[in-house]
Amino acid sequence: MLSDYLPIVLLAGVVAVFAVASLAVSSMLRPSRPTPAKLMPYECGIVPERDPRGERFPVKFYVVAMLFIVFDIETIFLFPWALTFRELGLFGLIEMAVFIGLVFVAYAYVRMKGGLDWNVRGLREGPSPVAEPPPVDRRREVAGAR
Amino acid sequence: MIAQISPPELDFLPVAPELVLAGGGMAIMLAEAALPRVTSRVLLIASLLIVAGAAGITVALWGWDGEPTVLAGMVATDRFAVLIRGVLLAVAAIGAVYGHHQFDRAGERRPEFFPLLLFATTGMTLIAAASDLILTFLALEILSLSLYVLAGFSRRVTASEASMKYFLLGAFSSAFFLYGVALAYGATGTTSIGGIARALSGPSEGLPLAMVAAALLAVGFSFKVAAVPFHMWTPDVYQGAPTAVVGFMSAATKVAAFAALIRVFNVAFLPLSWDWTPIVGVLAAVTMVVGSLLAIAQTDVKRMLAYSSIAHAGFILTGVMAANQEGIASATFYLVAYALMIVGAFGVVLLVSGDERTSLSSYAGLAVRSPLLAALLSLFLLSLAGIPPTAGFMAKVSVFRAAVDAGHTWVVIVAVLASVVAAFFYLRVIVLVYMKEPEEELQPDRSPLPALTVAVPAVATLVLGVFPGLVFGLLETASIFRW
Amino acid sequence: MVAAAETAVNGEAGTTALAWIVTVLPLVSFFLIVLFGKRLPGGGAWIGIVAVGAGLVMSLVVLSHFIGGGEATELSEDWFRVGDLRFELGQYVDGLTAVMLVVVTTVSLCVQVYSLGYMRGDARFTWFYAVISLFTGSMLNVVIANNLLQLLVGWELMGVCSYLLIGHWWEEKENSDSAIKAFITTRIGDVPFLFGIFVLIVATGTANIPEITGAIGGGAISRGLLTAGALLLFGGAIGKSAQFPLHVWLPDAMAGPTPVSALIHAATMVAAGVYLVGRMFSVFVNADPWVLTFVAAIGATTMLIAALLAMIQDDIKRVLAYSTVSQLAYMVAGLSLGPAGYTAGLFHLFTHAFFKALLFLGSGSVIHAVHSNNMSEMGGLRRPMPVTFWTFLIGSAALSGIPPLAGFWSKDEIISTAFHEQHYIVWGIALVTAVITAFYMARAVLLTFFGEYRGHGHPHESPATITGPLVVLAGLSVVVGFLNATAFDVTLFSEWVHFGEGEHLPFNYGFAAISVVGALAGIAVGYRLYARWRERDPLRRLGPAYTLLERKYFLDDVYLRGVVRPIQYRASAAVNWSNRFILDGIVHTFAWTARQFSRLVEVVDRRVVDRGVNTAAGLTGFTGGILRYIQSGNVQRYAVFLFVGVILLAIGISIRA
Repeated sequence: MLSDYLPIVLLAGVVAVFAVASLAVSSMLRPSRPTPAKLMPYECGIVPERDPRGERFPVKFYVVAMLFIVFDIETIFLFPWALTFRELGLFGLIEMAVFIGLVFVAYAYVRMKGGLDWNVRGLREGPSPVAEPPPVDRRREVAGAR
Repeated sequence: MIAQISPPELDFLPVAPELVLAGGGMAIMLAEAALPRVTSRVLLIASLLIVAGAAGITVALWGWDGEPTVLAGMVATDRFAVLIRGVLLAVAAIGAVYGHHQFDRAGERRPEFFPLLLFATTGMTLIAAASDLILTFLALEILSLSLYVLAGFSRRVTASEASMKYFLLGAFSSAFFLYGVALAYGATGTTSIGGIARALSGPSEGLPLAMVAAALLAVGFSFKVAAVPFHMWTPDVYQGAPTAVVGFMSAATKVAAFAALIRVFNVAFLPLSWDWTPIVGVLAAVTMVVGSLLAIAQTDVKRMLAYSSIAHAGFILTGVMAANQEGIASATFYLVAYALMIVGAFGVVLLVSGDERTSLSSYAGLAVRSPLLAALLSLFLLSLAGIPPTAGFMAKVSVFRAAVDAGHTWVVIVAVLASVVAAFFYLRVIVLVYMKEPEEELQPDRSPLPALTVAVPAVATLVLGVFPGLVFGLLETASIFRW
Repeated sequence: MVAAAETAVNGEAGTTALAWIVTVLPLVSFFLIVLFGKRLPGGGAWIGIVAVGAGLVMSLVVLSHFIGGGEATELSEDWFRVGDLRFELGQYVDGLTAVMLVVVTTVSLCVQVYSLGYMRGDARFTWFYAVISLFTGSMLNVVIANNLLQLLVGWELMGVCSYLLIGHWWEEKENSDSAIKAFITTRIGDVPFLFGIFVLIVATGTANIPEITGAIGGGAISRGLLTAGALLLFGGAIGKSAQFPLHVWLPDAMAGPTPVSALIHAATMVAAGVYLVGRMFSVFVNADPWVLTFVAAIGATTMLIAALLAMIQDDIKRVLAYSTVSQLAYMVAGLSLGPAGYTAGLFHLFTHAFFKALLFLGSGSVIHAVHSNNMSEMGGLRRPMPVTFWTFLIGSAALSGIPPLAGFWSKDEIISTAFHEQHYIVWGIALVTAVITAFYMARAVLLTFFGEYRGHGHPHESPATITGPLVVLAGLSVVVGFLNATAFDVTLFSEWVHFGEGEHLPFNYGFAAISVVGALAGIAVGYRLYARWRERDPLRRLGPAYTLLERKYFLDDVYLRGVVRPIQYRASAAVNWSNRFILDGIVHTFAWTARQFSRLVEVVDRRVVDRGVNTAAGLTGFTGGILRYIQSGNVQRYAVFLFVGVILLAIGISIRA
């Protein structure tokens, strides 16, 4: 029975060896002469204006992404249920209602917290669990405001 | 396939505590969102009521005489699950008070703390009762996700860092766990814990695969209980996360994860115990030694307690490796004792180190500033060190004896040595507290409610140290798994 | 042994059932004092005194059970069960137990009354009484325990109490250091003790002491296991009873208040080690014979080196401390003589408790008056402090073995038994030690009470709460010896405490004469050297030998550098500590490997993992470096280690499979 897995193990081995070997070989063979210009991030040939690591995105994007995933998965669950609706009968209906109810609670919570309110700057109640931590330099100001 | 799906027999009473916790958590979440003016105190009272409700049902479940498992074999109804639930709910109540106090004192508004705490508790109580690896995994994720968020519940950057580390490594270990579940299914054709035991006790060609599955599951659990070498996150997270949260998670997570570990290894993989006990023994030995040695070098009280918590995971594993009823009972007693003393110790830290200034040197002369807190801290440290007449001593003695009786003398030798080393660093703190003059301005928090809350585990630690029979009496039936 | 099986319990509990109440009383008073002490008049001290006084009365009742030759009794309850494992809570009362109950309660009572005066006005007066009560209860628990685990509870609690009391005046760093030293040193002895308990449990399947002795008597236990068990238990006794090489903590423990020294570090806790050997004697007797020889060697070594050290101390309490170590070694040596020496050794334990407590309390009275521990600042105190002087003199004479005081009877019995059992080396050393003992006690008395007063102020006799206990203990030091005065055919004590047939040697006037002459010789030399005060101790003429003694054979230095300091100071502690314990050669090899390894790690780290990060390798050493490297805070690295852990686990499994 275990021998059935042998090809997978072999494949995994080959993959690992190949990946490691090609990196190792190329690092050994290639010349390494770094210059400042070479070490710069590549931005279509022009000199990059900002340090890309310092770039921040509004929290709203994250919230939108996560909400999308939540409701997307909800829909995915609805499809198989729809297919077996008759076999599951009343039980399935109740279970699905519970499931949708749970997601609805989340929706209501986000709604009430202003998570879907695009015009407000961030969520209403300070840094929520889903929000990023406030940057270091603004810390004192936020704390002082309270 | 589809046509074969049939609704299972439904008996929701055995999961009623979880339903109450989860439902209550959602209710609090919505209520707070709808009524933004509601105070933290109201939320605290509501949470405590919910926990009390769940506890009431739990007590009632002690006398359950129905099926050993319900909900299509997913949930065990044995008394082990009931006992562990009780411990977890008690810790959750204490944690709720801690959290309320810490955020209230800092002037922060953190209404989400309470629902998240309740959700985490739901996951924990569920994992203690889970009799199917799928449910174990689900519960593991429920508790983990809540804890990841809770760990970052502070404005301090270190808290975010702690949360992030915990999340990344936790996700990593969850993957191993899930892989273990898959392999267990591959080896035995079932994910039910009882089913695996049945499949493995007969002749089976899946034994090597099952061993690998057991190892991967062990990785997942070891991460949660902070056993070496899967402990790396512990000091960083304990130091970074808010003390109230650490107090809760250090006690409750370990209890829950160990409960699941004990169930999985003493039921599902019991037929293989001959093979896994030496490995668990090595894990235990390494964990005790590394935890104890590293604790000596710490200069931060939260980090020190983190390493101490790691070392204790090793001691509990020593009981687990006995792989018999004595082992289960003594390990469970150890869990109870450990939960009491660590939640208490962090409670004192919460009160002494406002502002999260947790360097050990700031504890110098605590006895002068606050004799009560100093006495409580010393009691918990003595218990952690395993000195009578505290619960920690009884726990160590019973675990050692169970392991010796099961023939694992060498682990006990390591354990005794580790516990002697460990005594030194607990002693160091007591010396600081009692025998040094206060150096810097130390203003312990004198609020009555949390001090009262800390007194509860303190009294329990003493009582269990003198009358361990109170818990061992329950364990006579609670250390038997029904499946 | 046959006797072991016979002691297995059969008697009616009768009055011995009081024994556990004696134990519980001080524990209750501990809680009462902690809870209410501060609010009560007198700081709650009376609670402790009444409790232990009642305990003393009951102990005497318990002892009366044995006067008519009562049987040993046992009471036992299940404390708790873990599956099939039983943990008991019970009492086992035989003559030895009853005698010890009386000793502990008597000394504790005297000390508590004494402390009313001595500790008056202390900032932590109430706390002091609370801990003394807890300590007394713990010791009594050790005495009555009918199983090893219960004994262990008391044993450990005593360690904690001792630590708290030594550090009672923690404002001075030296005192808290001494407390830590005592705790750690005895803890080191506890390690073998714990293992010894496990060995016996494994060997006999029970922790119950009568059952263990019964099983051994039945001959079912292999000699090898017994030998291991005996050695390990003796390790515990070495730590608790301050025997070589773990004797270093006791003199430093004198940092505590003097009543504490009297109770804990003279009469009771340090006696627990000897008591343990006595209680588990059948293990020792039935082990390989060389175990007892080893015990004898330790005893003989300790008694001599400690007595030599006592000769040169200036601090009066240290004289007594080394004397205690030396006398404890007498008891150990007595026990090492086998069944014949059993009664002698424990009789010395019994008598010594009284006169050593007396001496300590007397020295406390002196210290109280002159505000110094140093004998160079005393002198001539016999006139202002007559009561203290006379009681101290009685105690010294008893310790020196002057007939008919208590020490004479017990010491003489050990010495003559040693000769009778043909342990001539023990006999010789014991005799020499007896001479030295008489010498240093003569020195102490002369320096303290004779000559001119050399200190400050005008010393006065201490109040009645202090002198009262002194008088009582002095009286006891005179009479208790007659409990086993073989010269007059009184053998009461050997009827209570005996092993096997309880045969005892007839009194031998020849040996007694040798002992007495030796003691007198010691006193004479002492008088010759110290009758007149000299700035420079005459013993300094010994030259290098004096230096050796002054530096306590350099043992303290070894321990301090090797054990105490690394623990006390943080970081790399564990590493240093374990290094020191390994022999030199191994250390060097280890260090070399460590260096190579950390170099390797450094190379790997710098070249491969991260050029920019300066790793911790090459810092304090092998372990510290590696561990710090691992705990870098870098989450990616953590993940790598998690994966490494999985791989190690996988390897482990494939080895099994």
